Amino acid sequence: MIGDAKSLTHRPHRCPRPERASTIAAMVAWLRVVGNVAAAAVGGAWLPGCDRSKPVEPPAPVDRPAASPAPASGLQSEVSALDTPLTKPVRGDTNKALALHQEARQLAAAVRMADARTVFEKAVAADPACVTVRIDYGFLLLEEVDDINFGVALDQFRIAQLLEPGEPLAACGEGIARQRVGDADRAEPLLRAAVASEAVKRSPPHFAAANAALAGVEAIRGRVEEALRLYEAAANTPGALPRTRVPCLVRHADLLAQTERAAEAEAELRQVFRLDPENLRAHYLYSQLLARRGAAAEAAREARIHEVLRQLADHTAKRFQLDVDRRVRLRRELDDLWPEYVRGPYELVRELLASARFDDALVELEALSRRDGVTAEILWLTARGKAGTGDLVGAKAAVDAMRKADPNVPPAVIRGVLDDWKKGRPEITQEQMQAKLEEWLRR
Amino acid sequence: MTNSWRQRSTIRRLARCALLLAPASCGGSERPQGAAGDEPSGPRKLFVMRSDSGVDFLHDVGLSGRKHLVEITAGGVSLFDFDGDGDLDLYFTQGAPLPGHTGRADFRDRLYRNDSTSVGGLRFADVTDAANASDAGATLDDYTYAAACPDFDGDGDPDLYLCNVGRNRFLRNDGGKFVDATDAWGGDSSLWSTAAAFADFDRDGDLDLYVANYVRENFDHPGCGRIRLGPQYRSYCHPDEFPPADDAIYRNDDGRLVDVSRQVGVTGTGGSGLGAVISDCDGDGDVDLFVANDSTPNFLWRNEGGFRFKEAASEAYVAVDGSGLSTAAMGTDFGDVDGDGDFDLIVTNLDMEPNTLYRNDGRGLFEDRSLLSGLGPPSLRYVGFGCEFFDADLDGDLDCMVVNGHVIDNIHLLEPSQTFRQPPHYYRNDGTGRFAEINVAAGDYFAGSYVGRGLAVGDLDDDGDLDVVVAHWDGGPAILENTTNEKGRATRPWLGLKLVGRARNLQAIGAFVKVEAGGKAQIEEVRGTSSYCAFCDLRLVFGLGETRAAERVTVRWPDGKTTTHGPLESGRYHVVKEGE
Repeated sequence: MIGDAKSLTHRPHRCPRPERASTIAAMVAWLRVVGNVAAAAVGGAWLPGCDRSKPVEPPAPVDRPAASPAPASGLQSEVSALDTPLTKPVRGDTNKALALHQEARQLAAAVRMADARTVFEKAVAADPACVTVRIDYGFLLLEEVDDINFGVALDQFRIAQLLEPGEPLAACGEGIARQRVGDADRAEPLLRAAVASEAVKRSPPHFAAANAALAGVEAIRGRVEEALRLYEAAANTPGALPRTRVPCLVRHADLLAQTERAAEAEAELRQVFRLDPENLRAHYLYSQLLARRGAAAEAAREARIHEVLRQLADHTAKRFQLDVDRRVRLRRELDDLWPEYVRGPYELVRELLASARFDDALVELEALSRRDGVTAEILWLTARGKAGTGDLVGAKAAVDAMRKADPNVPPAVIRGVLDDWKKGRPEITQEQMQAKLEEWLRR
Repeated sequence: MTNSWRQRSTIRRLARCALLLAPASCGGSERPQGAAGDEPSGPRKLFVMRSDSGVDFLHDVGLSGRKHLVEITAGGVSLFDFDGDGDLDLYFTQGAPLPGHTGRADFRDRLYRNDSTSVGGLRFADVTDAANASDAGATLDDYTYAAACPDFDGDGDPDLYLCNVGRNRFLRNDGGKFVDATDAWGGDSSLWSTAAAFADFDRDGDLDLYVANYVRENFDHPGCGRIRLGPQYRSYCHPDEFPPADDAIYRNDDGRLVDVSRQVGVTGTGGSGLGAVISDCDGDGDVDLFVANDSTPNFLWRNEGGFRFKEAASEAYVAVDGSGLSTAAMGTDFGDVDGDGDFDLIVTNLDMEPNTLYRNDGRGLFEDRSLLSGLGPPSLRYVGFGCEFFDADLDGDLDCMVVNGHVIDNIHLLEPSQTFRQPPHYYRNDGTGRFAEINVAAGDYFAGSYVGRGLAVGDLDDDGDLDVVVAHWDGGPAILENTTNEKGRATRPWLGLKLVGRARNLQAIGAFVKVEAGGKAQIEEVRGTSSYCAFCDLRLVFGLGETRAAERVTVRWPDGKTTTHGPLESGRYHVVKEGE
């Protein structure tokens, strides 16, 4: 996830979704892609171990003056992580830290970001002077957007540079973190150095992220053309994934729109819809552009699409998350509003499965089968639905058919089917799950 | 639960008092320190903070130690001439003891009479008791967030409408003494109210009322934050923890406010309102209303005549910001920042949600121009509350001031890049609608950090430039004297207008004014309620640049009639009466 801080707040919905696949093979590939993104985010260059870090300094805690919840006064300012003096930490148990580091990276690759964060915290505690851990942890925190953590990320990059001055990825990370918290003045030189750094260039996710962050700085400075160029460069970074490209394209479109280049902006947004059909910001901007050029009916329809998606994802969604009827109603409305969105019904099925409405999901899947034919993805979803209803025989049949269609389906995908079996059945043990998985994996 | 939060604060207060030898007593909360009546040394800055004004008010949120949501967003200030002597008096809203509170017992709101004219310099005297100008300050019913100051009965003096966490109160001004008129006048919403916008929505000559309400807080809520990590991690809840409290709209029927929320369609709209401001933002001649909602889409109540409204925020593109998401909107104001003849809109938000500047395209359609206008980026790390567009330097365009302060007092534990106290921002307009944050160049006040909430703007010393009063959370306010003009010796040409309406809207709330001078046109409206928990000077001040007179002033009165005046000389206030 790259771009300005607005897109990287603690709210998960601000993270654009990757392109949806329409077959099981693509879906599996998608899962792998997400993992790769996360893995890249926690150290795309796969840096060496802690040993490269410089020698040990006398013990000193990494701490900052405590901010006080004192009443209003301009007499004494609290100190934020942007300015806190830090001290070099001491070497700890490097082997333990590296082992935890590996574990954390695997968790990140499996998109288990919260778990990865916990393990990273343990790794940092095990060896506070391990530069690799600090950098990878910092990038994970920039990537993991369901919590407020820019300040913690900034600390990691700053400490890494205390330990290893000039470390290019650490400086790059600090620049990105500073840009995202609005500290453009100090971000700019770091980011300029980052985009010129060979080490950063070798890692497409970091290079794209640095370009996008620098674009944000240029936009703040009012240098729109340069910002446009940098967003474009970030979006077109060789090897960049949709997850990286989409926010750059949307910001590019937004800047085009604000500089009276509406037609170009619309074209850019249509590209975004292909990559990320449910991108809220893109739908909102597209609706505005339509309204501005007098296409009132289209603008209203697009605005309603945006509103439905917003209601599924915005702040208030937290309060409504358990209101499955409401979410399903919104999903159905979206299908009606936007029949061209062929992935819409699949998202509805996902909603139903996620909320354990397995019978309803199976009904939807029948309709989808009639529309799209029996694809591997539909077989996978059907297996989940049948497992959820307790029909393990039916689920197994669907799994077998899916594996026939795609012999490379990873065990984790099949394990996901069994997770649906366990939903609402607390008596099922992990051992039973494992046994069933092994049984299903036997040919 | 012990009140350790509070105890720590007290210790800090005592220590600071001893160290700084502050002139104020050490017995209460801190107040920002500023110039004691003298000119500051060094080059003259736009604002000088006055700490010798006689205002000894200390805001107290009635901390309970349980982190009730009502504690954290309070702090309001209103400017109005309660005694009819021609200058602006100050009204500060006060909290109330919350369940579990141990501490002071006096929680009354405070009224300060402006004695500047007679004594010299900015001087105020506490006349709360003499004017009977507060509710009891004893219960949640008396926990006041904001005060609006309409002349509701049209008798020539402004009354007081108090937005409380409990039942709202209406205090009638009887020649400088206030009498509780709530039962007679109505408008007594009993939900947690944060803003009251009075206007003649149906053009029948009297003032109607819209009340923005926030949420229905459950005071038995177990608490939020990462409590599992320790009690110090307990923090204030996100408003999403509680259901939104419906706003209310009242029609003035022969002097009594009748709740017509259901008929109008305000009931059940689900917004968590914190700020409200009126404007004819679609340019059709009647008063519309914008409500800034916290984490729910904003409202734009488009006036369709006959006391009918259409909620049009989505179709006007002001319901959410440019990212397509609702923001934690707090303060708000309208102003023509780019001089194109329509009213643009600012909304202040949570950190990581920059101030939103919605540019009006003249047809009532808005677009988010926060980034390129320069109003958004400097605010990214800050939680914005009070905000006003005003021409502080009298150069003929609207500048902007925003006060900031986090809503989580232990935010440093959750996000180390954040602080609870935050610096206020002053943005100077380059005349095209592009702003530059100048901060310390605007005054020493801007070098400090505070928990800013309410911000009101008005000409406290009648010298033709606009001063500022900021209400700080749980502390003393800041009174910022604008130094652009010195009394009797204007350094920048300005034009002041005091509009006098007819019938029961003598204050001409909702009137639209266009001033043409030196080939340039400026527009403004008489609003009263805007910003956050604030009521501002109803007089209008226009900087004329290098021009010495306004060639023509056009007023569109709340009833729709238009009058033209001029030329009007600069350097003084002109009273413009409807029908004359």
